[in-house]
Amino acid sequence: MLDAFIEGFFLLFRIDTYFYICIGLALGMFVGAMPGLTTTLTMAILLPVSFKLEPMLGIPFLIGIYKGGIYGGSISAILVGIPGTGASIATTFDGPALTRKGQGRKALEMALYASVTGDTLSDIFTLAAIGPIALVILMVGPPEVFAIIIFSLVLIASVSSESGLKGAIAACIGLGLGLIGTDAATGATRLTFGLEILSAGIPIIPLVIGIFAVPEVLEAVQSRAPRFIDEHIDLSKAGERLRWPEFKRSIITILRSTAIGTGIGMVPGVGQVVAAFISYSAAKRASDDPDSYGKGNLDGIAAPEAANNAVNGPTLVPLLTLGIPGDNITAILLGAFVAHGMRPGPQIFEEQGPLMYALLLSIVFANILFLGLGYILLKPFAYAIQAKKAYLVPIILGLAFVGTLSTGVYTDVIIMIVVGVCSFILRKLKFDLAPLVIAFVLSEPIEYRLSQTMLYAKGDIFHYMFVQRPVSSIFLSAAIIWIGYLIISPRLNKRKQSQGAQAAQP
Amino acid sequence: MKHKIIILMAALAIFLSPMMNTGASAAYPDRPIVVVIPFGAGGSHDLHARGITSIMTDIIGQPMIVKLLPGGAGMKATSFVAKSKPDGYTVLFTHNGIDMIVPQTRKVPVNTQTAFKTIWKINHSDGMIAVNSKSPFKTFKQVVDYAKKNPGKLNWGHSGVWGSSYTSTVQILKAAGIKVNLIPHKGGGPLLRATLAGRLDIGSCQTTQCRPNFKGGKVRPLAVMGPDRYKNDPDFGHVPSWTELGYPNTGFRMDRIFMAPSGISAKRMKYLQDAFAKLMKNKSFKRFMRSIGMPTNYMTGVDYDKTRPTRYKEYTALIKAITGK
Amino acid sequence: MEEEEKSNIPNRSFVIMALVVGGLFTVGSLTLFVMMPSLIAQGGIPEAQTDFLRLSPVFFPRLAFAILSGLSLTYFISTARTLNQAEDGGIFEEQGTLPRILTLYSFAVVYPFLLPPLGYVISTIFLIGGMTLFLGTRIWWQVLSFSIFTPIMIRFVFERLLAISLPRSEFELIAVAEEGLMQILVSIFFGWKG
Repeated sequence: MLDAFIEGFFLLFRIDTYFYICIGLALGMFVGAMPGLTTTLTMAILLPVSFKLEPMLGIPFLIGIYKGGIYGGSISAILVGIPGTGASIATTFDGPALTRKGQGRKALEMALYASVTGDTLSDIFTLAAIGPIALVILMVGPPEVFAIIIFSLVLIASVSSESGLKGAIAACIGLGLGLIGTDAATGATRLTFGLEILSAGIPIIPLVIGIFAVPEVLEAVQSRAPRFIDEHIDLSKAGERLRWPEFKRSIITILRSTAIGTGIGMVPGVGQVVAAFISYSAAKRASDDPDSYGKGNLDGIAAPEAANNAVNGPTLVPLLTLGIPGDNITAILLGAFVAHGMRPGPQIFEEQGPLMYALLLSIVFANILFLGLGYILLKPFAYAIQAKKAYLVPIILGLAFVGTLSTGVYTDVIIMIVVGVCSFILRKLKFDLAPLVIAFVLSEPIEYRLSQTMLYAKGDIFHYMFVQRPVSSIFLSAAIIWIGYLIISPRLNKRKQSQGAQAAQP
Repeated sequence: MKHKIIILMAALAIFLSPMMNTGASAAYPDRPIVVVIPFGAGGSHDLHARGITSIMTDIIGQPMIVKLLPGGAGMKATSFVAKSKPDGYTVLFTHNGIDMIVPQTRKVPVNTQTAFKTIWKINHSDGMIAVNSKSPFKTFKQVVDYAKKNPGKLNWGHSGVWGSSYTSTVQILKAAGIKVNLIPHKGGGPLLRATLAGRLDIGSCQTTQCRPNFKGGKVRPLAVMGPDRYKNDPDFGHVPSWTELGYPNTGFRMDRIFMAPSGISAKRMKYLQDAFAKLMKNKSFKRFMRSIGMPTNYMTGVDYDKTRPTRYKEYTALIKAITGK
Repeated sequence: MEEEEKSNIPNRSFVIMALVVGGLFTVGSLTLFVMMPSLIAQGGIPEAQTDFLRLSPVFFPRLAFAILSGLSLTYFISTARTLNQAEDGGIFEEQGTLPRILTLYSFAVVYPFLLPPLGYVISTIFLIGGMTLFLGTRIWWQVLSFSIFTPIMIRFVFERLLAISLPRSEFELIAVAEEGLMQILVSIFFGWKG
């Protein structure tokens, strides 16, 4: 096996692989930055191109698009508060605030460095531990997924800054919206009101564009300021770069987020969006200055960006070791493999060892190119945001529409507009819409996994969960205890305060 | 002021000049064709589509793009294509379950029998029942015996309500008179994963994804969900079929079909059908199908359309028998 | 963000808006809760369902709506309490913001209806032109060139390079014009490839 690895290493000494990776990265970043355009779609379109190239060119090309796409989403998230991809939603918490302070470029650079670090570390880990990772992934079943999701929700809720009531309302709305459509367990269609366009549920792209893009545009119009950046900020500082001490401060956050992202990558069906949220919340909890999150803290950019890139590594493992893709993107990669006559699965490392190792190594090296290319490409974006709103706002709105229209389903546009105005009103009322998105994304897995768990349990839930599936019980118990703590502790604090006040009086 | 008018004129002129080009309308196809698939990532349709579309691009000169629109038991994609302009730029790559069974089990917005005409049938295949190689079951008979003695105990997975494995599974349950614990999954991928993980006592899979895992010694197929064995298959030729095992008329033969909205012009339909005919003879296509391990027992669209009404009635009877309605 | 928490004395219009929203949510979720069983269409077949799935499809929606109605009622009540202290004031700080927002929003609403007849390029010209003018740019040839240039370039990049199709006009003439324009651009940019 070691020989195969070394042989594979030598396959890397060719310039055209890196050339194609760069093109892929650039394309991915561009597509990622456009709200509504998904990396998946781009990869699907370019799949035929990758067929014509040999495996060492075609597959890294697609992977470049994939990596670039996740970062591209942060560009628009940071500059205008519109996430280009679902994974960048958590980046919209601190990104726009930094841009308004004129620190857009710093934020972009932090996002880049965090993304690259997270991606590299997770890829190396995947490469080194591919066997154990495969085993772990296989063992993660519906009860574990359910438990981890619940635990994550509690974590996210525990750091939500706005009034818990509003956050919970938003979450319930998201839950309700997510339940529209077909129930996977029984095949029943719910809440569709006879409109068959809803029979598959509300599509997430128009929803996200409606929640984020439309209110941003409307808010931009609301203020008469001609530019996005606050007027009194010295524009010459707007191109300021990230300094080493600033990056150093965030290293622990990045490492923690990478670990979280890699872990989430091993849980099927959870994904980048949730990983970003979880690590943001974890970073906020661990920080000395939690209130500064949401107002422009660089950590708030580093955490989600490291996590959403770290998810990539383990996601590839089921594809490579079992031949079973976990999501759309890995399915496209499977198509690419198969078209080249490679059959991912238990045998592939024996049959095609050198090539597989070469590919995995190229994924790791792609990150270096990612760093360089990203750095070059982010400069024009950082300066573009300084243009007048009169030009930027129409372009943003136009692109938002293009993103929605790209699915070809006409009603998506209507969904986007309706959701948009409702989100704008809710934002005015100081509702934080992030819980809505999270609940929407998670509503389906929660119910689906719970149904599956109950079926596996065959009616005897406690025995099944605690005896047969201890890991999930640990997570669930922790979550329940935490919820109890969250509800009780404000009351305890109040009592302490009033006791203290009483004691202070003579 | 004067030069501004000139600029405006120039702009208008540039903008309007293409209208001069309206001569013969451009040849079909002059832009990419979208292939809509009612399933999610990684299923057998997705896999077929990747190969087919990339080779077709050479044949027709324009890219064929895959668009995944899963959900609503396949109805989301189906109604999307049915409602699209019948200009030959949007086609549906589906299977007969979605075409003929699902519409008979729920209210659907589209009458698939009148809304679509078949372009081509790529192939058909039956799935297989498989167990984890660590399972004590070595033959299908053992499974049935166990299930009879322990009703509702076996974890038997399927890939989605009224999907391909669901229909076959429900049929065999009725034919063998057994009760099991049916566990749904979202597609063939997760189903196979659960089988490999040992969570499921029994699962099903298509040959494509089964093959590498079978070769790796991880799964053991027990029966083919259909009337015939996979003859001439180096890996799966030994697997008996349900009919052999004594359960005739079970199994769901999945035909993979390309459909177009019926409003499509006859000329464009003929163009597409000729393109597919060329595809069948194409060397890269044959090589691709071999590498994913799928047969190429194709049928022309015209012939397939002739079979649809009869099969539709067969399925009506089948559904009645299963649901007792 | 430099913006401090707004003064604790609530603004009357805000409160009214909050009450309306809270009320809608409460009523809405209660209705959905009650109506839930009728909003379901069964799928699958009964025999295939086993006894172990205690989770019926109504469970989660009902749970969500029950919680939502409880929460929104709480919200409604607590907001109503602040009504007494509310000062008069509008929702937006500056005068005339509401008309601005409504106008912009109406652009967005009208746009989808313009798309089928006029096709992407012309509708977007109106959208972008309208918005640019609206946001204050007055130099008319800048507005014109910007609003014509942008949709054409967008269409070109997305359709030819990324193969994402944008709506075509239903009128043959306009559709053909757009197609022809694309061909010209293709030959300019890709012509050298031969």
